[in-house]
Amino acid sequence: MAPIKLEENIREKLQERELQPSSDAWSKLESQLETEDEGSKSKNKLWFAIAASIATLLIVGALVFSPSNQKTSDVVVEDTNTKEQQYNDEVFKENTIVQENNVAEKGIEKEESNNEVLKPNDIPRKSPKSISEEKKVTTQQAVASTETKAIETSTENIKTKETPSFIDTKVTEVVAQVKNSETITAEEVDVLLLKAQREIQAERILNESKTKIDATALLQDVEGELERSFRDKVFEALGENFNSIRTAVIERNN
Amino acid sequence: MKLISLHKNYTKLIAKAKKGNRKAQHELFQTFSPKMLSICRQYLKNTDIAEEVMLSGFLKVFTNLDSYKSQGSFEGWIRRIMVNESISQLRREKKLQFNDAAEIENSIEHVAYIETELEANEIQKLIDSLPEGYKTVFVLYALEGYKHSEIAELLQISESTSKSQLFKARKLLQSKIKQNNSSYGTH
Repeated sequence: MAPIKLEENIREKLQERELQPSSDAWSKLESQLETEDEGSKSKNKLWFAIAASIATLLIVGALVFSPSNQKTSDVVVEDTNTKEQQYNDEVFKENTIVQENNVAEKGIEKEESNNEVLKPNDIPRKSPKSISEEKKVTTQQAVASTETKAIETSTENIKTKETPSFIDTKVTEVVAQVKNSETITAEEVDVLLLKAQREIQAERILNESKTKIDATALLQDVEGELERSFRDKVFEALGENFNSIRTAVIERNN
Repeated sequence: MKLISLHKNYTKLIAKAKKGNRKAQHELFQTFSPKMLSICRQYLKNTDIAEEVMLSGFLKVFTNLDSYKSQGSFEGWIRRIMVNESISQLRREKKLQFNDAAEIENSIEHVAYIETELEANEIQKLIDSLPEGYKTVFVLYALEGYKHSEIAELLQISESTSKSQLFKARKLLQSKIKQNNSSYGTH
């Protein structure tokens, strides 16, 4: 018998050898694989959750800190301010209307100083346009008892170009009343002025809701002037005769 | 032809098994488990433990299929996993002890000749009779073709220890075979 290399013999024999595993070997392995799969799935879920939260943080951070977004957020703030302003204006309007009603009820005894207090609230919200259209109706209703006569008044002093005709009409009315009534007193004149002013204010307030223009800013400039210009115009229209008429009336009453 | 078609099937099977296809995994297991159990058995005397180790080896095979890059033989890749698992098992059992004090004789390149061809089960018995340290180095070197440097790294021993363990294993085997032969001869 030829000598055989020990290790070669061993290697050949053992490499050819196959040992059949037990019958339940695969099912054991399968169950192990399934638990392994579940573990890896839950791990994957965990990693997904972590990745998602990091991404969310990054996005939120980018939104918060990026300069472009600061701009947009500023815009938003301005919008809300504007809305708040509008809302406040509306509330203010309502208040003003209520105030006016109250004033109208208490009516005639109001002093000029009171009017001056009221005016700043009311005048800012004028809507320039369409006043002339609506004023005619209001004028006829409000001053139904008085005759409307055309009296020349100087409108040069009025800087508000949007509201001249209405104010002019009022001036005309007041002057006409003063001139027509022979028994007019100073208080009555004041009452007439007050009434006319309120009507002008009411007219503007009514019109405001139809415009989108920022009435507050625009008309605040006009505010002081309207008050003066109206009075100025009335007295101007009455002219120097007013004092003499007034004095005469007072003397006669006495 | 058979081999070629088999190889093609492996590629497909491996691709499917990578995606977690249980059927493909089962087929690969059926194909390779007998050989792999044989390999584990070379290191581990207890067949049940060898099978457990083989199963844990397959679990690693299937969960780490992505790291198999289709370069080199798939069987070789699985074999290495099985060898590592077997050695880990030996380490857990604390059976891997090496006597570094062994002297290395000059006859390292000594080639042993035997006069009779042994059957696999006889060889297994001889190997089983070796001490764990000798046996592991011998199986790795003589049967799996590992180099001493690789064995040293795998078993975390020095190369000289690997060489001395191999020498002793060979010497012991020869004497055992001689005993067997002489016992046969007496019949």
